[in-house]
Amino acid sequence: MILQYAKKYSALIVGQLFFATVWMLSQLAIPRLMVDIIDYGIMVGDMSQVVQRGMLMLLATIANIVSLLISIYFLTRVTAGISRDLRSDLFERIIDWSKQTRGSFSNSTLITRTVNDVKQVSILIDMSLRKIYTLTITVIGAVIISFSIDVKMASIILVIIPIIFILALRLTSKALPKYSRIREAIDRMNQRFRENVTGIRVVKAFNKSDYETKMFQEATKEACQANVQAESTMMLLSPLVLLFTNILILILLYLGGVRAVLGTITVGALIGLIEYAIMALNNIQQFASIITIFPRSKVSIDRIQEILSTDEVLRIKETTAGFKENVLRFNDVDFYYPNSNAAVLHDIHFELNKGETKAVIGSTGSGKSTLIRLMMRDYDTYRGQISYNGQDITSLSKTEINHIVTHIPQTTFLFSGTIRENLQTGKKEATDDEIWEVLNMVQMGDFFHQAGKGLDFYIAQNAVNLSGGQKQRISIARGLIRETDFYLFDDCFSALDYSTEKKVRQAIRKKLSDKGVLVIAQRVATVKDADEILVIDNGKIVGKGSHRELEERCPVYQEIITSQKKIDKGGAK
Amino acid sequence: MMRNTDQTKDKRDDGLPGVSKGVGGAGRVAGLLASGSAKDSKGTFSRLLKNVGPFKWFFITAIILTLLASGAQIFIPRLIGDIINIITSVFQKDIGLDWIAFKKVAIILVLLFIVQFSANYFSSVLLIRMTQKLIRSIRDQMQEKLNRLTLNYFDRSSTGDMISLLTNDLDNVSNTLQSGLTNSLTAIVILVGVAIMMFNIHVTLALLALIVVPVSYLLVKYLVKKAKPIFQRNANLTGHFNGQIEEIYNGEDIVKHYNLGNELKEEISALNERLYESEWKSSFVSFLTRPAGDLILNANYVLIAILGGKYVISGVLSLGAFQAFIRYTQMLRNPFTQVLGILNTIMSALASAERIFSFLDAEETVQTGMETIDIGKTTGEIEFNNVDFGYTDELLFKNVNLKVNPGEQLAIVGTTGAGKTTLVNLLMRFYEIEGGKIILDGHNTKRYHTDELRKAYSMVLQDTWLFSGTIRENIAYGATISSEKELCDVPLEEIKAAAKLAHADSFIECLPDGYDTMLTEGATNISQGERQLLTIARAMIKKAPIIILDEATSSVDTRTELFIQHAMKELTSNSTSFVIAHRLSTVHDADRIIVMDKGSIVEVGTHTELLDRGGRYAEMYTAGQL
Repeated sequence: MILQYAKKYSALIVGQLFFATVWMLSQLAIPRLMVDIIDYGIMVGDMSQVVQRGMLMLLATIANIVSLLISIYFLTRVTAGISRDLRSDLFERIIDWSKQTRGSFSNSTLITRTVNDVKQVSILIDMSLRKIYTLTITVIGAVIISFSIDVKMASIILVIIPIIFILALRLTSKALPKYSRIREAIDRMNQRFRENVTGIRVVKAFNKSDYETKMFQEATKEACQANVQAESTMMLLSPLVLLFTNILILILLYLGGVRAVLGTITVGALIGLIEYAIMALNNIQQFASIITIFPRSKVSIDRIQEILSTDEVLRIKETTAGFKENVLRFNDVDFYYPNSNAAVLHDIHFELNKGETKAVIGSTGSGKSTLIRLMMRDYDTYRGQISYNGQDITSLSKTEINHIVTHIPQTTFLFSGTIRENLQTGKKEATDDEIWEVLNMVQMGDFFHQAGKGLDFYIAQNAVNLSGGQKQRISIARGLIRETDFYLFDDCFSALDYSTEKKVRQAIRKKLSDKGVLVIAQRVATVKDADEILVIDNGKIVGKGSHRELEERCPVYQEIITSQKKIDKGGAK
Repeated sequence: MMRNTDQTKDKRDDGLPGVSKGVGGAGRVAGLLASGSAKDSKGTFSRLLKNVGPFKWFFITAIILTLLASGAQIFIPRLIGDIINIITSVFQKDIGLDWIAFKKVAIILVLLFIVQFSANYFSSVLLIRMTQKLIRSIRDQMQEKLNRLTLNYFDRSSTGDMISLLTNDLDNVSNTLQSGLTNSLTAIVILVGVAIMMFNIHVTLALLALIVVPVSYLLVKYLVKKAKPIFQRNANLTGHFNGQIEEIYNGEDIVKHYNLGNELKEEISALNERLYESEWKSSFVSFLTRPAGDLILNANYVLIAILGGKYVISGVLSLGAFQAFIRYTQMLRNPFTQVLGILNTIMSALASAERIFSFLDAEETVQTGMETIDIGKTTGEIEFNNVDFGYTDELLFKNVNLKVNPGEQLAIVGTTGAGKTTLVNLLMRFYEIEGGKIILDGHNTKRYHTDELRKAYSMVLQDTWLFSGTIRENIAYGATISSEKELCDVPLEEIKAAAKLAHADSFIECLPDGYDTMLTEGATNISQGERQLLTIARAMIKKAPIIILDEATSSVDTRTELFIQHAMKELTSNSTSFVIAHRLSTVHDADRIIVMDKGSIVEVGTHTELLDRGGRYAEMYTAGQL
């Protein structure tokens, strides 16, 4: 997957790798030149050779810096570019998904994937292109040059490299599982702390401070122990590599001494070998500590991949246009959640004409809100037909549906921004007058007049500066400002007190007198005045008619009335 | 800890980062960048040292070991140089190798290797142990502090900010202690040691080599200063982007159903493009300091090689010393960059430590009394006598008087902000009253320790807080247990009995794991109504003489709502009870109703009495506000 994204940047990557190679080669050349300075200059007392090679070294240095700069320039563009592409692909895919496609992905996992996982991938790319590549080249280069200097001595370096490498890997893999233990303990600790904060009143009321402390301390103890264990293992790595390097140097010196007596090695060569040995071992150590990024990134890559390979499942079907009529129609609809055999809705059949107000009532879990989900075409997994103005809903695009019908959802969501901006998400070109009009309808006009800033009133993230009822009313206003044929109110009066709800509903009736209105509610008072009420129980329509009719002959409706009366009037006896 | 109000106010300002830090992560990141320095670094530092106190010897030993290791590191190249000299003499003087001298140096070297290895390793291990223990103790202090804070503190701080103290800030401190400090120390020791060795070898060369230190320091400092706004902009932009994404994902329904998709795509794509620009620029700039430093170091290296070569040829310098010198110039590389980072690391750790300490210093609840209470003899008679109270300087309650008889059920009605919850807060002594008395069974409640006083109360709040754990543990949470006992020591029969009384048993038994069902954080795996029933069961198991109930208004289906009603009735049947009422039924059944408005009790009486009076209650009743 990453390769696919990297393709677009192949020119930059080739450039980056090329200059990284130049960088490493010039880095490697410097000790090599030092060998020559010693052997051809210093040892024979030829100063001109020293200066000449010195100049070459300076050249290598300049090449080194310049190539490093260029390679980093390419590198940063590649990593930032791939991150950008991933982010935008993820975002655009997610935002286009229907509810059905989105399935069980929660908001928080989607955010993690778009933000944190992409970051992790960019670290991986950076590490692979910059560190891992150059480290590998350096080690190989150092070994090759060592061989060119002296085959026998170089083979000792070659033997010690895999030993250190394996040692480093073993230590790392021994510590890794402990890190996940630390993670768990810390998560538990944070969770307890967070719960202690949010439930502070309950904790105090039940005198559980000591208990909370005990539980928390168990977690901190565990975190502390796991940390000590894991880190103690990892801390062995760097001193150990240093020890090996030093021993290797000593061995090289000893062998060098023996060979020097025999006259088969020069001093310069010996010094050079030591330099390269240090370089190689040092890089191996870094390599081993970096390599753990692969297992960590694998998780992120898989999670991103999962999003990118989930295609939208809803298709727009080509059908011949039906009659032009002003009606929303459910025709014997049975609904199943995707991958489920149990029908949530059975035989739903009703019509909503323009100018009519219909209501749906039922207890939680009866399937009321699912009806709206179907009308908005969030799901396609149903039998039967749903149509707007004679056209099958599956032949309409999302945009077309949104131009026909307005949904005012149960959970109120407002964007952070001014109240004006929020209402303009309902109607893009809405004027201030129009906005004030709908705000007045939902009894919020006075509030914003009094708040002083008028329509520039700033709504904070998650609308924390508004009450539940205010949020709900603004959400209703945002729906009302839209101009569509049908309006679906999904249990969105629940946080309003009776008198406000009454005023809001009256205003809605007046404004939407020639539109089709569907109100979903749990309370009889909310649905009472509708032209027709559908009573839903266990996914079936069990009653249809006016309040009076249902009151007389629909047993479920009667139950709802009595249960609410009991709660509202008679008490629970 | 006693503090007068003025001091408390000061703490409020320089304590936690406020809630209004901005949208998404932006505020936080910007906050972190901006708060790079502590206001009182000296005080914070000495306080941090005080915390290190118990682990003093760990710390001192670790530092000695670090010094030892760095010392070894400094001498090793010199000794290697000596060996090289021994080998060189073979070529120059045409005599055999002086193996005895070789052996001598080699043995010293091996010893140094061992010293270096063990000192390095043990100092890290000591530091890890010390830091982890220290961090553990600070964490524990913070959690204990949490439960001693006044509720005012919670009212004005966000949960996220408090968590961030425990995670980000503490991590910052621990990283600095664990590796930052020793790294810096090593760096300084090596820098100094290397400088001495260099001067020892050759003064001119040493001066030449060390000139790079101030030069590249200034260069890097200049670059970092130039780069800071670029980093900051990138951090802000990243925060902004994440905030936007989060919001859009949360507003899924509106985005989909109001056709906002394309518009948002354009918006996000433009933002993403800006983020790309700032991202690559900021990471390029952050890499830039390295080549800049490298250039100077490498150029210098070449100069030293040439000049050093000249000295060797002219016989001023031995080849071994020359080689050692070259090694030393290489050794300058790493510590050098570390020394540059030290100040920043320490300052940011101090800033974090200061935030933590100011949390640990925040105002605590003051125990006014230490007396215990005999729950068995408590009748539940409560009296408010001229009670004054306000959350701010402005009083909300002025001269509130109220008497409740044992076993009486009192319903409290009133609009939002009327003071219903405040009444509960004062009963539970979540807040201390400013004037007057609250009297329980004839005794001023101030004389009791709050833990004792709260034994007399059981409470059900609208906010159905449950913790992540089993249902069984959550119900047992209400039981009074001694601190050595676990929640699972509460007998299951007792829990079942409470659940039954709370009408929660039927739904619990339907769950696959019954009472052992794990609740997730926020208990999102059961419904709102079920959560409410569990909180009632939790209150039930306490069997307190006084019950405080905040009735649920959240929309649960009518069946569950009936259950809740039944359960609440059961709960309040044998005790004095205060019910914040939202339902007519509760008001109806209550022995007395009090109507509150703007912190005063405006009416008291039964349902019929109040209706007949035709006052505020009657008004509310006809308006359908009940």
